[in-house]
Amino acid sequence: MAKMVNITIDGKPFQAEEGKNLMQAARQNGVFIPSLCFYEHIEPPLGTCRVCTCKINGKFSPACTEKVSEGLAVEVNSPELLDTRKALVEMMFAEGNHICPACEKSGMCDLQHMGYELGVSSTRFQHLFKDRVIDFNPTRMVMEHNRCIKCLRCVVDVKTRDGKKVFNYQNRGNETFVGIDYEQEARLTEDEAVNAMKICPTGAIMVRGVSQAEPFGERKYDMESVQENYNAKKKGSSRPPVMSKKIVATVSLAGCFGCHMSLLDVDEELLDIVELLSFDKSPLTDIKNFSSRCHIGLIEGGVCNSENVETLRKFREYCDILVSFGECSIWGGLPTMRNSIPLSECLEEAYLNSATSEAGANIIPYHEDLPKILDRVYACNEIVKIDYYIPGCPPDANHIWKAVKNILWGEEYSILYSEFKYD
Amino acid sequence: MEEPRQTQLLNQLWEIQLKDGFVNDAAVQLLAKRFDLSDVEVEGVVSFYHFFHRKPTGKFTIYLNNSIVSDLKGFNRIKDTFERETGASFGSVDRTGTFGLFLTPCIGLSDQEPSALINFYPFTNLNAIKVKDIISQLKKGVAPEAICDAPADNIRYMPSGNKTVFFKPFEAGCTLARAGQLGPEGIIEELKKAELAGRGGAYYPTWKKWNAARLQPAQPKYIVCNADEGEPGTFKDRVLINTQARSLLEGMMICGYAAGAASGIIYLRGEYRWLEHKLNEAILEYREAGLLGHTTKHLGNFSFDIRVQVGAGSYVCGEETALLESLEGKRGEPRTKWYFPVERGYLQQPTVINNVETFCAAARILEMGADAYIQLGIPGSPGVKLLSVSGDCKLPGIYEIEWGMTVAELLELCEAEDPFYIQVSGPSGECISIKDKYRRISMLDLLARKDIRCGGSFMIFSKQRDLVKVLLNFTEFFKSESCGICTPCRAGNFIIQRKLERLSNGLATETDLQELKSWGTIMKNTSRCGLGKTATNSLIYAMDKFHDYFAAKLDKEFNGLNLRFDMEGATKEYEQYKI
Repeated sequence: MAKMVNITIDGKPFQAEEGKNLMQAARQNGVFIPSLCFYEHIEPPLGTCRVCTCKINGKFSPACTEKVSEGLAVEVNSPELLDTRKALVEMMFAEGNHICPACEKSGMCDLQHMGYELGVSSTRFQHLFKDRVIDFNPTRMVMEHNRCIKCLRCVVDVKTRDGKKVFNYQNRGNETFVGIDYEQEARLTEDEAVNAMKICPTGAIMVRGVSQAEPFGERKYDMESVQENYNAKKKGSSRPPVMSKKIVATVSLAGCFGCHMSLLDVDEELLDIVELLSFDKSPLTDIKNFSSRCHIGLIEGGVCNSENVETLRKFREYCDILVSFGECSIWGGLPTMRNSIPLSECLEEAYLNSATSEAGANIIPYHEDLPKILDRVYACNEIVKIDYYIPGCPPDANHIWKAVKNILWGEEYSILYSEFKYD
Repeated sequence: MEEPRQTQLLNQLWEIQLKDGFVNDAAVQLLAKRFDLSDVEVEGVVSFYHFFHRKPTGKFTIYLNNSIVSDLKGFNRIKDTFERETGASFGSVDRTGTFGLFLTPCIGLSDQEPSALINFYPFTNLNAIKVKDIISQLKKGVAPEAICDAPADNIRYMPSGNKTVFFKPFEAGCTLARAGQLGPEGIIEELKKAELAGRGGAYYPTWKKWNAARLQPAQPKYIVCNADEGEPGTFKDRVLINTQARSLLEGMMICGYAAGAASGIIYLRGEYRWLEHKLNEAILEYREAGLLGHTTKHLGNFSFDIRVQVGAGSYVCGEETALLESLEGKRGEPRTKWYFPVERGYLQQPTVINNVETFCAAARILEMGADAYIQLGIPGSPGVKLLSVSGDCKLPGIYEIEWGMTVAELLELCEAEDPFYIQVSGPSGECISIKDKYRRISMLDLLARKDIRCGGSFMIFSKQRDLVKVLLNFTEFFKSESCGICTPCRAGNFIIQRKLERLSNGLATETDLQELKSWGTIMKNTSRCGLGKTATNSLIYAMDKFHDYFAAKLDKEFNGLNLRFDMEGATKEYEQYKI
């Protein structure tokens, strides 16, 4: 048996096998270090995602490429490291085109899971909306390049029986993508292909005809955090003594009203809402113009036309606090699928060439009374300052109501892991 | 041990690229078969390197340098002239398939910009008339090699009183007798005494590296010379290879002798293909003199040989582990730090990698003796350093300075024109203000920031230059040169570029500045290799040193709530449907 040595993680002493991968050593000792590319049986470790970055003997370094040695001092959870890790996960969301509600892997996706564990409710980076293809050419698989985080797992691990690579990086820099070899892919057995799909941390590799077994909502990452103390700090609700009546405004910009529907899902707490809130401008009241200053404005949907910009600016003017609720409002969401396609192509598809357009249709609507369509869908925080974000598509009703109560009356709350979702 | 066949992949791709002007599907399949790889792996290698193409690149393939120094010297005008004269636009080939125009980052000719490579032959000091003339000659069927320039060495300064270390005449074999007397341990002691540190920019003590390799039990071992100086603004290795190939070879031989290695490889950047013959001629000369490829009389049973491997256009391959991957015929992606190259380097064998200047210096130190060498420079930073000076100055070129020279002295020597800020060690280095001109250039006190450590590139910018434009040029460079393997570098450079564009367009706020700094720091702390770790260096330094300059670029009307939005720009596309 290998020699055991003493290490410290966040000041606590642990024993670990000398020369062992620090990620594994931490896991064996029950310490959670977030990671994405790390895959136990691949050696040397991949070291591509950098999410497991810690401070090791005072220096920034990923845990997955560190060998355990006597006296190793590891810092995992300092505020700076927590923020750095969060930033890396946010970068992946900003770089790819990750639309969780439209993804088959949702609930089983490692990237999404890291977002949940680290509490990523919005990305600090503007999304890049790089045009990426979906490759339907392989015999058995579909490569969804929008979702790939270039972790390298498939490149290193998936090989044919005679040792040929099936996947490999192509290009470089921000043009890098994982190419798939059609010939070698066709030579994989069904099991090998399904394995490739399984080791993919996101939904980038899909095998035709193979579905994820569990229904949405009951999948691996849907219900429980892997961190024991996920909600520990926020436990216990202490209701503030006075909850004075507040004024709310809501709007759905480039959204589907789904977030508003979700809001109505709080069941008996609707009674509280009626008692504590009065609604000004909102589709719920059908009040078109602000009649008073509001304490809070809830924004659903992103910004896709000139009227959205004006409305959003009005909200900023009339509301003390603005909250983006739902993915579309936070970063653009589902409508951003058009962001990598030229506007003219979108309009022609919608008004001229679609299956439902009338024969001979030749008009793309334009009128001074109509809002002007923007070149792409923008996130609300590209137009005005947004104070808070509530993720989800739609966000869980309890999540919305808890957050609003906290913002308005300072009521302490605890968002359960199962209430924090992107889909 | 025979080197496995895949190490030849780059050479064979070069052969195809030069012969056909591109690598077609059949060639990919052929090579895949030959090296027992899948097609996608070969394609991955082809698409990684700048100089390999999957589409035809014309009979004359023109690479125009788009580095910042080129930009200062009239890049845009030259670019337009090339397009007008050839009928092609950059990134493509003209209709007749004669001219292919491409942009490429720094080609190591910053002292004679604007410059370009045509079929990999250098053309320097370009102006509109010269470009016109070149193109008309090529159209007449003159070969580029017949009319290319022989770039001047531009060695502008050597320490006074015949104290030059690098540029004295060098007699073949002159260090070997001394090396034999000293023995491997003695050589290492000598380098330790001379305090020689890696000149690639990391300044790792050379003796430590050589000694670590010496102590490795595994055989065979390899000595690799990093001649892939890709840092924009650097060209000292070009001049060393052109004038000092012998001392370079001998430096590698001494290293091989000290570390117990039998073979050396020089990884020459593709941009310097036109210099390859210089190295090969020197190698041949040494072989014929019985110094390479045989046992040498001074060094007992020791036998050593050297070959040249030409890279194919990739800045990141200057990172030592990426260089190793490239040598193995793969994509130049840096390895993790799971093993150090001296433990497992080229082909997983112990490997010493040093830069051209380091090997030349090692040979010279043995030649002159460490005692004489440490008389130069300043205590704690003895010896001399080669600097590549370019930008807004009258005398761009190579300056061999004694460590300890001040920035002001250097600026005076090169006759800098109204210098305002200086980019030291290239885009990945440090941006200093003219206010720092009394700081010394040395290896000392990197962290205390007293002296300036210069890796080689020294780019001078006058007050008329737009700093944000310079930084955007750097960011574009890092964005496209990132290998793409790690998240912070691949996505981060892209994100930083977008943010700088906001700043450049007057849309940014104070928050944006803070974010730039904070994101730059995150990239620094988390990137896999030096490229990502240093990509935001100059940005961070510049924001510290020129805060007022950045503040003046911000959106003045920002009230904390409403961000500026370019409605006209955003609706321009839609306006075309106005009836």
